[in-house]
This record gives sequence, C-alpha cells and structure tokens, in this order.
Amino acid sequence: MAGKMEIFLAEFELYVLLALVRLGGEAYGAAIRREIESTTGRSVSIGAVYATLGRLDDKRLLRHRISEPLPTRGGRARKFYRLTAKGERALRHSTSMLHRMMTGPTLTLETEL
Amino acid sequence: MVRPPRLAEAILRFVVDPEDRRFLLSDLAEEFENRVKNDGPRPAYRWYWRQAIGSIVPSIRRRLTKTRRVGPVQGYNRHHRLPVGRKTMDLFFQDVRFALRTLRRRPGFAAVAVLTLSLGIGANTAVFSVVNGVLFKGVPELDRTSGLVEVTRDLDGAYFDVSYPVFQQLRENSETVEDMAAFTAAPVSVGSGGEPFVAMGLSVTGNYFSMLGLIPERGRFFRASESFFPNVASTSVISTRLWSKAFDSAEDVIGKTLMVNGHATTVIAVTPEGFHGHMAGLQIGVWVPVGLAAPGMPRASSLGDPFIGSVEILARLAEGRTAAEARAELSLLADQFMMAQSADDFLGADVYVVRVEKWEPVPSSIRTPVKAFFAVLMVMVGIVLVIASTNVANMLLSRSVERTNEIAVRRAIGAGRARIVRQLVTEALVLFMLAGGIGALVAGRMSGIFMAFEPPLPPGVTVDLDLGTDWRVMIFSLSVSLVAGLLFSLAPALHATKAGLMSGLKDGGSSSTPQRSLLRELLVAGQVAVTLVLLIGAGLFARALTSIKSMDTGFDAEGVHIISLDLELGGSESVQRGGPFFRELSERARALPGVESAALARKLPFAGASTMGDVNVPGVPAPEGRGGHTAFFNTVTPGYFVTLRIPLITGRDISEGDNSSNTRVAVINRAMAERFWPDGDGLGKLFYIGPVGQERAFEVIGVVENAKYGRMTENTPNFYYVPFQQRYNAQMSLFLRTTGNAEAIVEETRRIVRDLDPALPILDVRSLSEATNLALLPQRLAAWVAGAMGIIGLLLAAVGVYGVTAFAISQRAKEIGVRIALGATRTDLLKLLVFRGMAAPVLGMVIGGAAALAVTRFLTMFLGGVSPTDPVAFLAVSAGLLGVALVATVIPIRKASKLDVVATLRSE
Repeated sequence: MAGKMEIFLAEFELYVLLALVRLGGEAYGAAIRREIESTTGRSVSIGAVYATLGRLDDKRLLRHRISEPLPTRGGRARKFYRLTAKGERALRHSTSMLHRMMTGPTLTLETEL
Repeated sequence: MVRPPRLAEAILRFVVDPEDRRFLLSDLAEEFENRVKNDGPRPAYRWYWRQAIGSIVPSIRRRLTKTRRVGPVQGYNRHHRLPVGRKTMDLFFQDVRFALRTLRRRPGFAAVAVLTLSLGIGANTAVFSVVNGVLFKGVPELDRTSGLVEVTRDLDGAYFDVSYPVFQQLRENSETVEDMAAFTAAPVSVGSGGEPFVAMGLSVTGNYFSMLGLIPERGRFFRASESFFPNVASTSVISTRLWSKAFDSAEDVIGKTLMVNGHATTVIAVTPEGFHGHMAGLQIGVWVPVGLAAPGMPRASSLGDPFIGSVEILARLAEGRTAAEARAELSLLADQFMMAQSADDFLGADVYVVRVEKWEPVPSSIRTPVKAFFAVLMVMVGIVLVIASTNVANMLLSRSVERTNEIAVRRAIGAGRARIVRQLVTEALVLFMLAGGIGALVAGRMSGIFMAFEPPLPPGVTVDLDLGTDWRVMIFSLSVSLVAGLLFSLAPALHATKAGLMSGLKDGGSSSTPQRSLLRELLVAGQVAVTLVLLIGAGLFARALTSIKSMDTGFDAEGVHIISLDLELGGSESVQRGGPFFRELSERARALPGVESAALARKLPFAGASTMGDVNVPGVPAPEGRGGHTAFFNTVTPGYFVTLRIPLITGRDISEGDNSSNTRVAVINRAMAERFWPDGDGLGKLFYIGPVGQERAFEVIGVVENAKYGRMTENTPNFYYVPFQQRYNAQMSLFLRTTGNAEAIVEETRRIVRDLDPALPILDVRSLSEATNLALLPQRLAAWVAGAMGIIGLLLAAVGVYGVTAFAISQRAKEIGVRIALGATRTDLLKLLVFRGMAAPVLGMVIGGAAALAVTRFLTMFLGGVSPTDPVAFLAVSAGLLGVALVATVIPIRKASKLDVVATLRSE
C-alpha cells in the first residue's frame, strides 16, 4: 500500500510499542499488558492487547515468534513479539511528533492551571 | 488447584482470533495463577472475568477488520491446523465481514430493512420487559421451586381471605404443609420524627421471613414469642429503601423508634436490598406483627373471630407433598373447624373450600387475567414482528433476484449451494441482529411509556415496577432476532440458490419466470392473513371499549369530588372522635358556598365491593348448595343518593334518625327488590344475614335504581346500603357535588379537615369521573395498545403489498411495454394487473378471516360482553384492510401504466 507514507500510531498502539521497548524489545502479551497497566495505572484487557498486537503485526511493525513450550506443568507456549525496523521507525516518528507538539506554546496553558 | 472460570474461558475462546487464542488463554491462565497465590481465588476470579468481558469488544472488532494475509508468514504455518469447529467460527466471521461489506454497498436497502425490523423487535422487547418486570423480575430474592404456595378461601370461585383462627387451626394440624405464615397488606403512615409519609405495610406472623428463607441485612427478624397473635410486641422490620427514606440509612437504626399510624414501634431489622415483599409491583416498606395494636391494622376483635376473613396465607409444602394433597387436607381441616364453631356472627355457613396454588410474584387472585392479558399482548406484538419480517424476507427475495448473476458466478467457480445459503443467511442475520440491538435500545425507552399508565388502585396503594432492561430482556431480544432471522432468511436463500446455473449466468437476473414469484405471493398472502387477525383483535378491543363507555354507570359522576380519609392513620385520638368528626365534617362541607350536596360513603364505585355474608328472605329459596343469596353493601350517610343522582324509586333515603338504637334499616337496589319481592316493592319487608338461629334482620326502607358497583361489565348484583350511624367505619370518603369552583371548594374542605384534626393525613383526593375512568382503564389500555399495534401492522403490511406489486410490475415491464405497444388501453392494463395483484391479498384475507374466527374466542374475557365474532368488527376491519391492499396495489400499477414504452422496450 502506501509505503512512503509515514504511519500514524493510535494512542493504544503507541502504548503497546512503548511497552515493548521498555521490556527490552521483545515480550509476550501478558507482560505487555502488565507493563501498560502498571505504568499508566489504567486497566487494560488482554483482548485489547492482542487485538492491537495483531494489527501492528499486520502492518509489519512487529514480528512474532512462537517459543518452545516452557518446561513447566501444562507446558505453555508463548508468542513473543519484537519490533521490526519499520516499527522502530514508526515509533520514533510518533514520539518525536508528540514531543514536538508538547513542547509548543500550548504547554504554558497547562502550567498556569 | 484453582481453575480459571470456565464460562469466561469459553467466551474468550469464542471471540478471540484463532491465531492468538491459545497464547492469550495461556497468558491469562498464568497471571490468574499468580493472582490466586497473591490475592486469593475470589479476587482472581473477578479479575479473570473483567479481563474476559473487557476483551470481547476489541477481539470481535479485530476479527471483523482483520485483513487477509498474503503468503506464508514465519512461525504461522506450524500452528495453523485448527480443529473443525474453529474453522466454522472463522468462516462465520468471514461471512459477517462479507455481509457488512455488501450491506454497506446498499445502504438504502439496509436502512429500510433494519428500520422495519427494529420496529417489530423493539415492540416485542418492550412488551417483554413489562412481562419480565411483572412475572419474572418482581421478587428476585425468592426461589420459586421450593414448594412455596398461596392458600386462599374459595367461595364460588372467587378469592377470599381466611380468618386468623382458621389459619391457626390449619398451621397447627396440617401434615401436608411444613409451615404457614399469615399476612395482610395495608397502606400505613410512617414517620421517625420528620414529616410522616405513606408506605405499604404488611402485617405478618413471625415466621414470614424464615419461611421465605431471608436473612436480614442487619438486625434480626421477628421472634415467635413476639409476633404470633395474641403475643405481639411493638416491633417493625423495614425495607432498605424505607431505611434510607426515614432514617437516612443511619448505621444505628436497630432499636430506633418508627411511628406506624401514630403507634410507636421498635425497628428490629432491615430486609436485604432489593426485597420489597413477595408480591410483584407492591413495594412493601414496613413489616409489623399481625395484631399490632396500631390503628389501621387488623384489630384483635376481628383476628379472634373465626368468621371474619382477615389474612392471606403463604405456606411451604412438606417434603414430597403436592398442592392437591394440601388442598384436600386443608379444606377438610377448615371445614371441621368451622362446623365446630357456634355461629353467632354474620357469615353464612357454607362448605369451606381452600385453594392451594403455587406461589408466584403475581398473587393468585389476579394471576389468570394478568397472564392472559400478557399472552394476548405477546401474540399481538409477535404478529407485528411476523409482518415486519415478511417484508424483509420479500426484500431479500428481490435482492437475490438482482444478485442472480453474482450467485451463479460464485457457484460456477466452485461454491457449494450450502456455502452460498449460509452466506445469504448470515447476511440476513446481520440485518436482524442490528435491528435487534436498535430495538432493544428503543424498547428501553418505550417501557417508560407503559409506566405512565397508573393502574386503578384503592387510595394510598402505590405500585412500583422495575421495567428496566436486564439479562432476560437482552436474551429475549437476541433470541427473537435470531429465530426470526433464521426463519425468514432461509426461504429466500434457498430460493435464490435454486435457479439453474446456466440461466442465472445467461440472463443476468433481468428476467423472471412466473413460478419465481410464487414464494413472494405466498409471503404476501400470509402477511395479509396475520395482519387481518391482528386488526380484528384490535377492532374487537375498540368495540369493547366503546360498548363499555356507552354503558350507564347508574350515577352521575360529573361535578362530584371525593376526599378519602382514614381516621386510623391519625392515631388513636382521631379514632376516638370517630362519628362526631365525620358528622361535623359533612355538615361544614355542606355549608360551603358552591356545594350542592355532600355525603359520606365507605366504598368508592369500582373500588371493590364488600359483603357481610349471604342474604336470605323467607319464601325465596337459596341457590343449590348455598346458604343464601350473594349480596354486597356500602355504608353511606344521608344524601348519598342525591349527591350521586341515583334515583330513589320508592320509599325514603337513610336519615340521621336511623341510628344504632333503632332497628337495622337498608336501602336496596332495584335488582334486589325485583328478585326477592317480584310482586311488590319490598318496602317494610325484612331480609336476613347470617346462619339460621343467629341471623340479623334488616328492614327495607327504600329502593333505588341499579348502578355499577364493581365493574362496568358486571351483572347487576343484589346491593344494599346501610346507614353509617348503624355501622361505623373509620375509613370513609366524603363525596361533594359542587356547582362552583371545585378546586377552591376541595381546598376549603381540606382546611376543614385540618381544622378538625390536624394530625389526620388526607389519603386521597380525586374527582368521581377520574375514579370512574380508572374503571375503564383495562379496556382503554387494551384498546390503545392493540390499536397501536394494529396501525403499525397495517402500515407494514401495506408496504409489503406495495413492494411485492411494484416488484412484480418491474419484472413484467417488458410485457407491459409490449401490450401498450400493441394497443392495450390503460383501463385494460389496470384491470389485468389489479386482478393479478390482488389475488394474493384476497387469498390472505380469506385465510386470515377464518383464522380470526377460530382464535378470537380467546379474547372473550377482555371484551366485556362484545361477541368475539362481532360482525361489525370483522366486516369493518376486513373492508378497511381490503381497501388498503387495493391502494397499495394500484399505486405501483398506475405508475407502470404511465411508463415510457419506447424506453422500456429499448432497454431489453
């Protein structure tokens, strides 16, 4: 599709990508959910996390790999997500735009409050 | 080992994208286990549920918007082999996505279909939320399966209260019944220091709460030693709502004083939140022991009297016993007990029959009519939905004809018929479900309209129903949408895929063969048939209303206002002043300027009738198996007949001179006079009430014209009026006939009441017309609702007939063009097409008429004398529907006959 166009990230997408970065660039659903919840203090459903991860995966901002089952009872497999180069670019772009928007004159309004 | 909640897991498994399902569940399970370890199982459970519910919307949205992957993706293939069931789910979502895309391409079609359906589903949901509020939601705390029964006295098929001694007798000696509690409801004035207000009170025996299996929110319920008459302590139990209203939900409410009709009681308990008594709609605020010595409560004298029915009974059957066994045993016990009593009271010595019925939130005495009315309502809205769905089915049929080409191509490239049918059905289901959602939202608002009707109730009684949308309503709405969707989309889908592959590809769906429209015509015939049934039902209700309205009540309600008082609500001081208070009140009211006449009466018209027992007159034999003739009475003061303009036929009115020191006198109605003294007028004759040996004599002093007493549709009963002076009652209503400004006069009268007794609250003020109109409310409501549904149904059916005719015409455009080209006149064409177009509606009318003849007899109980096969209703409605069908057929035909011949022929 529009390969040249910069990808805008939605707020929650941004959270998910940032959580991934905070977790060392590779993590699975539950860890991302907990990271967002504990950092933002807002309750997050696992379904929303996976839906967003799936969407980001579709956009090739992420890549996933499925781990070998853990050597524990029930032997759970995990789906680990990792940022792609495209994802990193998108994140950098979004955060820098955010930063620019926030350091503008509107900030003074906030300090007056 | 604590497992995550299975239902929540199942929900997740259903909604989550199959690619992620396994990982998401295992992630959740992992965190769940940690939470069980750290916070304990309950918080972990709750957390899991919150996660599951919070995941529903994002997961579904994800599946609906997911884009197809192109090519293999690393790490994907290995886990791609899904079980069959999940594949089906995946296909379903794929179908839904496709359906949404298709509908988005035809927004007009989708909007009309959804609108039509949401009307039908919304109406169904609205009616169901009323049914739900009354029958199901009424009393959530109680378990209906646990052998709880109502025990009443069966007197000639009517429901009567049981006397307290009989209750005690039954409770002590019954083996079929494990336990029994007595209760009686009355509005009471309550207060805790502030302004007193009216609430519903329930006098109960001490085991009432334990029998219902309730545990108090706080405090303790009655002890046996303080709440079985004659052992009564001044205690009260309050509902959570009254706790908040009277005590501001104070923590230390237990032990506080609550005034009940001016009598101090100690609050001992608060009922669990949401429990407001065991009767739907009747919100009980305060419970007191039966026999509490407060005014307005059943008095010791009447509770001790085996002949005065004063309580209702709730019972729990013993293990393994049935209601029929209990009925036999209790009837025998009661009869034996009554035979042993020396009858020195008013009531006749009939065989005592007890009725035992399963407890339900709607009391057994009114259950049958309430349920029958709901059944009729549900059938009517059901018909509306059928009509709406038929329209949509027809629209789907037309759509599928337009899509013949598309379908043929899909089949040609390998789609099986089942696959295409499933896809078409899914498309229809999406429409129905969308409509269901909108319908449920609309219904939530509509239930408010239902509540705007205030049911006719005695003064002081309030009804409060919760008609809000709950899970039952949601499930109902959902399943109605689903079932209707499946039923009405399957036929069009099968039909659409029936056509031969080659013809579909070749014609491109522009022509239509004659047999193709058969299904459509049948749908229209069926639609017209059910519409006729619906309309005839509505017509019958309307006829019933007009026939009842035109009935003579026997009194003139215009210009009469009523002020209802209960001295017992004013406390014992008010009660002691009794007779003189009422005399002074009526004298001062009569003296007000603008008051033509004034009188007191115990009962308002249409507010129920009372009886002292069967009446006997020497020489007039009692009906078979009875101890006397049924008769009802009212207690009145002089001037009552003048005030209500009930003509005095002969004799005299009750006078101030008829007091307790004289012989008992009565004014009787014409029906009673004619029945007992067919040869003369009965003046000066005596009638007797009570069993032989203990009867009391009443001397007839006057005969008045018949009136309506209980219902508009009643057969005039024997009715007599006794003087207030000879039969005192604390609950009386003042009837004022005014010529001047009624409001000012009522205000002035209120002032007089306050002046005479500042502590006495006024129970109720209304005009007599209002009270009379309330008696018409069931009929009004029925006619209004049925009429509204009839109109909706008629409009929908008209749209249906129009649509089908228009479509048929468009399919025959070529033929019409040829005919015109060959010289057919417009009249010829009209005739041909109208006859053709009306065939299905006329067939439908014949079927519908026959069906209506067969089913309207179920409405008899609501029609108040109008025949269920009333020819006026049948003919007028049929003619009306025929007319509408004709118009709906002619409009598209007229349009067609004006069409441009050349253009039509050229387009082929």
